[in-house]
Amino acid sequence: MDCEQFDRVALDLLYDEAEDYARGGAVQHLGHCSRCNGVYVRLKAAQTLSQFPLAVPPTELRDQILMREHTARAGQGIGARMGRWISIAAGYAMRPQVSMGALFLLMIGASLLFLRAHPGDRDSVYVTEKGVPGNESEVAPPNRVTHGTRQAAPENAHGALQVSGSASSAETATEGPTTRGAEATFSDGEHAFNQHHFREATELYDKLASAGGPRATEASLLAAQSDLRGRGCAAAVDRFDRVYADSPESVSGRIAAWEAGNCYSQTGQKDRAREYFQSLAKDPIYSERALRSLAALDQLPIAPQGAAEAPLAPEPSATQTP
Amino acid sequence: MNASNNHASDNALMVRYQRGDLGAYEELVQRHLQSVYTIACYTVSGSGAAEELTLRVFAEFARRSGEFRDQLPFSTWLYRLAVSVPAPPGDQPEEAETAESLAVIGTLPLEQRTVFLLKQVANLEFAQIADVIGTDAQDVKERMRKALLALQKTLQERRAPGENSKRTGTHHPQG
Repeated sequence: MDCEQFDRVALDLLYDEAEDYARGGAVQHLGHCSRCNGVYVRLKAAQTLSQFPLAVPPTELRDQILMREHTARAGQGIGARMGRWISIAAGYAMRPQVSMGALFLLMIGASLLFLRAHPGDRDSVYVTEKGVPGNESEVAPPNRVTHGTRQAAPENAHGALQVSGSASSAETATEGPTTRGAEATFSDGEHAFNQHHFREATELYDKLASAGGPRATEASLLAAQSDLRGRGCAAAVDRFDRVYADSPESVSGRIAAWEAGNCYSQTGQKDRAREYFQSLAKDPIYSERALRSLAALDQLPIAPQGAAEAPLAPEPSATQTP
Repeated sequence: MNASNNHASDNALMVRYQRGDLGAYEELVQRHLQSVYTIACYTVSGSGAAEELTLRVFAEFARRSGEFRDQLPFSTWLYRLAVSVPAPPGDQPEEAETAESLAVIGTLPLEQRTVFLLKQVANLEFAQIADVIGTDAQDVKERMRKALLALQKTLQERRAPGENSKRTGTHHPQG
């Protein structure tokens, strides 16, 4: 240790704050350096000389301090006490460990937002398909489209019935939510239809139609379509007539018009068929098919009465539903 | 009183006080009252002003107790508060027993006097004093060295004439 280093630790040595290695070096240096020895002796004398007495505080001073604190505490409102606790808590919250913990929890919480929610108790998931209009032979059965499609895609092959589904949704939106029981009945009707239990499907849809509600018209149409598949045009055509009469401007009404027109066409009642096809001639979805059917009516021979009585083929793909 | 030795227990008391334990506050006051009061006595003129300054320091201590953090030694926190509290104006002349000490210490520049009192009275370590006044430890030691040497010189100058007069007085009757 040299003299400059000694000067840096002299006060530490004087007040017994020097580290062990520094103390050893300083003591060793003092042994052979008269200059530093003189400095240290002088400082030691000054320290001894500067021992001033501690003042004795009056006893009432302590009492005054404590009294002030007691009074302050007693007069503290709930707000001030809460503020004091919040201040203390905030102090602890600012600690790095707590901050890191909070950040970690925030990251976990944020990552949970990206997890997809469980489907829960939903019965099914609806998927829409977008495409171009197709011919009638490609038209899906009413049960599939009506129940399976909820998004509007009027220009595609299943356009009419998809619009039906969309309209139903729109009607539902405007007239209020469909009850869960009705939804279950619709589902049962669809199931019965798919199983070719047309009578059962008709009864279920009739039940829904008679119960009323926002999807009553749609239920009537589905009952008519089920009846068409089960018993044929003769039994179903009146149903289509009623659906159309009840709501000619609705999507269900236009589907009913198309179905009725086809039934009347099949049974040779050209005038009635023509009325329906003409009503659809300006419909953006049905116009092409309606005009084609109108043209075909003039060439259509009068069908034998028995043909109208025969039920349609039970195969869903063979349905004439648009 | 050794601030370092009392560090842990002072901090524990302070944490208890933060939780509402007034007994802990009383204990802390008991431990540090004399040091704070003594520094006050050497800082302002008159016992009334010293008492007022001491009351202010402890009032500030109570008011800002929520800001105390356990990582810091309590004495560092307390004296940091103490040096920031404005001193009241002095009042009557000091009592005879501390008048000389006050007069001598009063000759020191403020920056040296603060360091000297925190070391000699509050018994803080140099590193703690550096924390209290916001400088580095080497600067504190330099101020302390100057303060000690200045006080030595002042005291020697003040005592020398007295000793001379004593000697003169002793000798005077005989002479």
